[in-house]
Amino acid sequence: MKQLLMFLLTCFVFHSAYAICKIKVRTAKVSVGENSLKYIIHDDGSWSGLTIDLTKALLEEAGCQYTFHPMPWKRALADLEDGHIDMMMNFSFNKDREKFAYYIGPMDEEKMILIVQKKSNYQINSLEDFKKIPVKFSFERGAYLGKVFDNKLKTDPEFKKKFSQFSGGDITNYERLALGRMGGFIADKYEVAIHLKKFPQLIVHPFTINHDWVYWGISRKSVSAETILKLYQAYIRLKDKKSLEQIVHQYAKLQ
Amino acid sequence: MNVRRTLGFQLLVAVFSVYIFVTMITTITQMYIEWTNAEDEIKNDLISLQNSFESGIALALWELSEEQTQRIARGIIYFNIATGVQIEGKRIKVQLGEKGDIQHKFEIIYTAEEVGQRSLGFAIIYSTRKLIFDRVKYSYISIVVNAVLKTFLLWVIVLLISHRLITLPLRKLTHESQTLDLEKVDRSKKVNIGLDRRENELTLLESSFNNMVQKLVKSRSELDRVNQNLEIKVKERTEELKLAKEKAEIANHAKSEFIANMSHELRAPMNAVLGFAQLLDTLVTDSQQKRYLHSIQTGGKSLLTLMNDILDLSKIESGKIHIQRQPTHLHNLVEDASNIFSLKLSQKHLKFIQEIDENLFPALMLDPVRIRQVLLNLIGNAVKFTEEGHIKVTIKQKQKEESVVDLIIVIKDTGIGIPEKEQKKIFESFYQQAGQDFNKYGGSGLGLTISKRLIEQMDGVLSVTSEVGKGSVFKIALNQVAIAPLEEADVAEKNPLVKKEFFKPATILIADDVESNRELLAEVFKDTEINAMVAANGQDALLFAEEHLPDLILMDLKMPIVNGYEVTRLLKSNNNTKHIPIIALSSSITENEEELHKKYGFDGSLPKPVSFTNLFLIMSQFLAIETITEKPKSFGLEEQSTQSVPLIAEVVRDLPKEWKENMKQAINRVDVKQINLLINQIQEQDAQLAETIKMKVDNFEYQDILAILQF
Ligand SMILES: Nc1ncnc2c1ncn2[C@@H]1O[C@H](COP(=O)(O)OP(=O)(O)OP(=O)(O)O)[C@@H](O)[C@H]1O
Ligand SMILES: [Mg+2]
Repeated sequence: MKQLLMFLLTCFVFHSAYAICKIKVRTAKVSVGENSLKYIIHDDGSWSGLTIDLTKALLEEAGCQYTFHPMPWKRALADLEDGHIDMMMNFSFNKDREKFAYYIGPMDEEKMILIVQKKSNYQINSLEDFKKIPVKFSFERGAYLGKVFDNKLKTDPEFKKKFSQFSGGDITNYERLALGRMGGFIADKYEVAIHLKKFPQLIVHPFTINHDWVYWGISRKSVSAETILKLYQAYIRLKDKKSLEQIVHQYAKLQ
Repeated sequence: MNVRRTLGFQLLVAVFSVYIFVTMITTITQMYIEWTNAEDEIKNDLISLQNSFESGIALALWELSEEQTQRIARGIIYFNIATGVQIEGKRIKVQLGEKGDIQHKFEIIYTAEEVGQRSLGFAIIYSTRKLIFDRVKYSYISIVVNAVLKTFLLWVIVLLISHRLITLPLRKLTHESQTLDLEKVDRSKKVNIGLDRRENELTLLESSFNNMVQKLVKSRSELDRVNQNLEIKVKERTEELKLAKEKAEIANHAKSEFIANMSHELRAPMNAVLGFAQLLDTLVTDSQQKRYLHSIQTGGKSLLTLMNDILDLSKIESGKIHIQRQPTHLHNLVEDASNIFSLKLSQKHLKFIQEIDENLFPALMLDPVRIRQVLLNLIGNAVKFTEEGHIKVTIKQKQKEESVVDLIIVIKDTGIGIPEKEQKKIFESFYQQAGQDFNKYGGSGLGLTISKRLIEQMDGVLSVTSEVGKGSVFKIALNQVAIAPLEEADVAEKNPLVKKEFFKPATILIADDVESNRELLAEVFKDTEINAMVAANGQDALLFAEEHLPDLILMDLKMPIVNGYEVTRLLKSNNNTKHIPIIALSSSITENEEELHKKYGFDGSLPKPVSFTNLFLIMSQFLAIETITEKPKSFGLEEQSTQSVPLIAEVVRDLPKEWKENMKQAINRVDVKQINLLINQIQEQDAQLAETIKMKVDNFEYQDILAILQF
């Protein structure tokens, strides 16, 4: 019985080794020493951080090789669609994206909030309220900020005008906001705390833009069904082992 | 002189056409270079634009930032050089400005460590040729102005130089040579074309011109001298020539006179020779001797024809033959000829074909005597030179105007023919085909010469075409032959048959100093309606004519007291008598008919001894004639001699024995005078017999006459 099990295991290992899976993963552009919890790059070029570690766990569980490629969010979306990259992380679910991406997860939750100057006194209780405010706000180019926000952007040009978009992971936003070059910007609440320590004149506005699960997005174009299956199986196994929760827990301590 | 024709101008044109051509080419080349330079510049500018913007575009496309891309595009067309820009990535397409006719396209490549090199699309920067033009505009203007200015300057310079160096001196020289009057110019004359000191082609021309003038002046004076001499000489020569010409004319005249007289004189001894030869023929029995005799006869006969021909020719040459046109019946002439040659034709088994134009007028104004002579010559040749086949006489007539026709008479034979080389020569006198057998053909080579001259005198053309061995064709072309009026045609119809009995009552005067002549003529008209008076001298003739006003006068020219010429002149200048026709009876053959008519007023002439046929013929022109309906009869010799034999026999039987005896004796003596006298005696009894005998005598056929007398 034990021998038979061993045989089956060897077969599996052999099989997976045989069908090598290599996953190109998009990551945010950060520089060494930057205060990010989700994406951290080290001097030797290796990556860590909450999001990275969750992904590594999944890919390693699935037995896939992987590489990280920093690029702007919107570019990554296009490349995923075109199959230039295979995986994106912190991928919000929406119908449009489903056309070119498989979803695996959720991997984490994401709360998008608005950062404004402390001295500002914007009365924002709904998206509609943005239009009344005479300054402009910005968010990361290509970002999906929930169904409601997305709809509003698409249907209300006046609302859309209120926002400009920046290239992902741009920490200069804090500086610019501090200098008053914009009214505020939308950011991941998880990352904000560290930065705000540096910019005491900035605060998080109480109006939450979006709070939702995020997933791994996998290119339908470049990734085979077999690999997807493998990743699903790996995800289920990780869930069972509660490995992902452990990682989240670890980083929560760092916060 | 027209400016356009000056040497300077032509030089200018020559130089400038080349210069302008070259200038145009260089200008165009320069412009082309300018243009390509500007084009290159624009291309370089576009490349610089690319260099400045491509990384920006790459980034914008990388980040998929539409605004950014737009912004960059706007930045690009901000440059004048770019009229438009198009940036095309997979998800972003931006187009600004206008597409131009120049485009610069480049690929957008994004380079980053993490992704390496990625082609994100392409961009096109548009520009326009107008820009090139704008850039080269001013340099073009300067190039053209430069070229025009240079051309103009060169033009002015060449014009000035050529005017000064070529045109002016040449004009001066031309003027000098045009106004140069060799009569007035003297040796010191010198032309100066105003190019002193300088030695070139023109100064050389100047000095050679001067030399030429000198020479001309010199030769001119020599010429004058020679001219004077020449004039004198010419005068002398003209004088000499005049004398020589006169002498020649006299000599020529004397020559033809001499020939005429001589041949006349030769006939008498010839008559004796031939006559006796004929008579000897009957006596000689030895065949050898007979052969000798025949040689004498044939030799004599050909000598006689030769003499006649020479006589004719000399008459033609001295202009003594005059074409006497009168109504002439060509049918009869041809018929006549066929009769004459009928014996020879049948001997040689030759056919004689007549092809006469159906519409041929019955009578045409021709000289029947001369036409007959020509026809006999040509047909005689045809018969002579043809051994088998036929001889064909064709007469064609073409009427062009109402009263005249063009006549073509062709005599064609199937004889030996004439080689092309000889065809011209046979018309020369005494010429016969080279190597022609004299024994076989005989002749003297004068027939064609005479014929040609005669036809030419009728303003016609006699020509020949021939092929050796096949035959010859002689063609007589007579243009503008007058058609005889109908009545005259009638006369012509009757002419050969005019007999003394036909004349209606009339009075004629015969003036001759020789009694026998007078009596002979008077006797002729004894039994007719014609009343013949006689005058023995000119004076009587004058008196009788004025008194009786006869219808016609026969006038001997040589008469005592007043000669025939004088009488005629006097009668013609008298109103009462000038209408009377006067016929001259001339004994001298050299008498010129035309002159007789013009100078003295004669209406016609007859040579002596008078042939009655001719006499009646000429009288019929002036006297009325009964219309007769007798069928025309041919007057051919042979025919007459054969057909009239039974008739002759009858007539001869009726002749007095004495006459017959006398005639025989006269023939035996070849006493032509006596023979003629005897013939005249039977004239009234039977004119036709008399005529026949006379012709035989003329042809020396004494044997025939003797035969006739046997009856
Ligand atoms: N019908 C013809 N066929 C061939 N040869 C001809 C003919 N007619 C003339 N000739 C040539 O032209 C020459 C000259 O002809 P022409 O009539 O002048 O002289 P002829 O006949 O020889 O002598 P005659 O003086 O007797 O006429 C002839 O000798 C002959 O050679
Ligand atoms: Mg002849």
